[in-house]
Amino acid sequence: MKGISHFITGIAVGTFFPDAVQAAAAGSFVLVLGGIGGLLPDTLDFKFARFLEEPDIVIDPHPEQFEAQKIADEIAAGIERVAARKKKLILKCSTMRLGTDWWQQYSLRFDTDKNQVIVKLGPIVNTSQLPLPQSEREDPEGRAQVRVPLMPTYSEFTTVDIFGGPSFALEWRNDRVEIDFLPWHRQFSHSFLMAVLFGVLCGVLFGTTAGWIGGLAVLAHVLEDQLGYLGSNLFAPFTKVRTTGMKLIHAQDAIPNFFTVGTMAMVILFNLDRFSPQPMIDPLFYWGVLWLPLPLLLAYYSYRKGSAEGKQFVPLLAQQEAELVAETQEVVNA
Amino acid sequence: MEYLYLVPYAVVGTLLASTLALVPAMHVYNIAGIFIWLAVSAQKFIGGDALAMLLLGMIVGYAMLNTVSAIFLGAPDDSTVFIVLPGQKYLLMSRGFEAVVLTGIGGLGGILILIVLSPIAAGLFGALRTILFPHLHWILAVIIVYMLMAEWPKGGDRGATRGARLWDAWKGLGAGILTFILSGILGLVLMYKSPIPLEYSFQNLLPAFVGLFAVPWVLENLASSTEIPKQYIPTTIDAPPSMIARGIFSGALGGLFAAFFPVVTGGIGGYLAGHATAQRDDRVFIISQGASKFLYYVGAFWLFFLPTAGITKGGMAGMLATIYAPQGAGLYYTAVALIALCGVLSFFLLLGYARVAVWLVQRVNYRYISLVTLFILCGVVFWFTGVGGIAIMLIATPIGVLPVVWGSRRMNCLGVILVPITLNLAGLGPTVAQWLGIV
Repeated sequence: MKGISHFITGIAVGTFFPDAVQAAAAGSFVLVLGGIGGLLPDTLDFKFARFLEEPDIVIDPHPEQFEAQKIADEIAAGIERVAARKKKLILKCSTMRLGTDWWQQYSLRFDTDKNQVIVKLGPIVNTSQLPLPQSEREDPEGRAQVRVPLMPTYSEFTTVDIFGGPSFALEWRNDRVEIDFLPWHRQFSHSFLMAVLFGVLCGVLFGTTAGWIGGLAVLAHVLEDQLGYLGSNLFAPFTKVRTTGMKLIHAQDAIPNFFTVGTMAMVILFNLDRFSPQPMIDPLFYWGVLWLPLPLLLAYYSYRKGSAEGKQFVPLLAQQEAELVAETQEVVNA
Repeated sequence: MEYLYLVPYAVVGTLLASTLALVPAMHVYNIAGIFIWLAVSAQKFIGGDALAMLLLGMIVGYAMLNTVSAIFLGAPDDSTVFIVLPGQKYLLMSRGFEAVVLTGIGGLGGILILIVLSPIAAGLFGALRTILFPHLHWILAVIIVYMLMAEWPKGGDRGATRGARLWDAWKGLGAGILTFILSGILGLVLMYKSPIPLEYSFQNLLPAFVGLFAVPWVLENLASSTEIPKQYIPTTIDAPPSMIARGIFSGALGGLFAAFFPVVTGGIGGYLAGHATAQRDDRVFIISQGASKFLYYVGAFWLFFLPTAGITKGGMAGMLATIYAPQGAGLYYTAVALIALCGVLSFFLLLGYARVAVWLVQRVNYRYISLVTLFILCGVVFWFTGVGGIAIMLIATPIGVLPVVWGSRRMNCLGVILVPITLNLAGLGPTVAQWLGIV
């Protein structure tokens, strides 16, 4: 889900504690811990973990030797090296900065049907991702055949242009190479243990209620992420694999996020009123009438999603990687 | 019919503000403050209702038209700062006129929202005020925390070691946090020890806003030698109705939030609502910012007229409340009707002014425009706040330049209002000011 959905969920969790709400009304900032906990897992990943990862294969094209075929060959060779060694390798595609505001764009795609790596050279773009006119390259496409079988994965092009490029974990699994997008994401930071650790930290620093709020806010983030196609490594560091999500939503879609933000805003308001000296909200009208548009919107979304999936089958792994790509895009565009 | 005589006042207000809105940094509050000061000095040379409608017309005109200078001259204030980036992007794609019109469409949507909400607003906002009033301090703190936490690294791709990559990633984030802290300290200084003379205290934030938002942008335009391509004036707008509806809906959420909550500007409201509604399209974003900005300015003033709710939010209402209190539902609905009338009038003025701006940027070198804009900014600050204001502007400018140099968010400059008000709401303002040696 989007950052703001996790963030407001964390705050909403905190408002279920009457003593926290009453302390907040008296000047305390304890409920802010809920928001911090709600966004903490993604903060740890996108602000720390991604930079601590050590890549084994670095695609770092030079502007003067910028050939699509060469990049595709390098990636294909890396995948074959994984099959030969039966060892997990991290592939990193670096961005290419040409000036203060200019970047060379390229994109890559893993065609698992034809067992090919496809690389396309894009135009020069500015930091707003606007192309510089007439900056497209000749021979913009390169294809490299991979001589080992690939597991189905995200089948659209992944664009590399501004700020940081993507990384992939290449791993030998069930006699095929699995291409796992953003291997550093949704690991330990998105585990039950992280919720406990943050809860204990808040508890030690600010008291028992603060501890519960902090821990439950992290837990809420972890659980919300299970609603999509890719879950997380719930039992890290004891396990290594990210779970499959419940496949109820695409985590970056507008309606589920709006539903979450709207519902949580209503929960917060309801709880602030409920624990005030003179409550004034009628629960029946509030939840039975005012809230009703939100679940109806979600039901419409589920219907549309179900219809779309009925028409076109997309492999689970591809859906999971798409979720990660969309999440990264949110961070780049933020 | 008893309120019909108020219509000319509102229209005059709109026409006046429409001219002022084109002058960079000339905020409608600067002029409104002088009007109110004159009204008090001259023993109310116009009646209270007439003065209120004159100011209403002014704020409607300003809220609709201030995007022209933000987009074409690159001189934003605290609430248009979010429009400048996509707006200038459109300008560089020859679509500056379209960007301005999209914000205007957002503003028209804002009017529609106000009309729809007007019968239920008193009950709705009155109840919200009762529930949320004791919690404002931590809600503002939550907004600050989200602003800072949701800024993601824009580097970190290069570096041989983990430490080098972390440094590359965090230098921009660190600059963002530093910007927020420095602008927050500046805000505390302005609140507790402002060098601006007391009689101009309603202009207290003007030099800080100009230094933090407008001057850095103009300096950037000067330094980068931006060349504006030939602008295209379309006869239709490339935005389907569903997109317009999404933009207005999102902007309405943000704008009403900003209109209601202290310190939250239209830009912040629009930014939060944009995240909440998962916007992905520049056009939706621009429309939503137009709606949010309009509802922020006009909505805050509209709340002032709500019968029985007693909500005074925003600079205009705050200034007017010192000498006048609106009475009755008749005046409230007159205000709603005049918002609609002046809003539509402003929209047509916007179309005209955007054409003038297109003509200007195509005929005059953009560097000269930026240079003249810079002189106007300095002149306005000096005119309203004197040497003390210029000093504040000169202190604020390097803080506003930090995000430009380090690629962090300019929004962090809003610490100038968020920090002092949040601390004061929590009762911590004087203590922190004491720690800093300000008082």
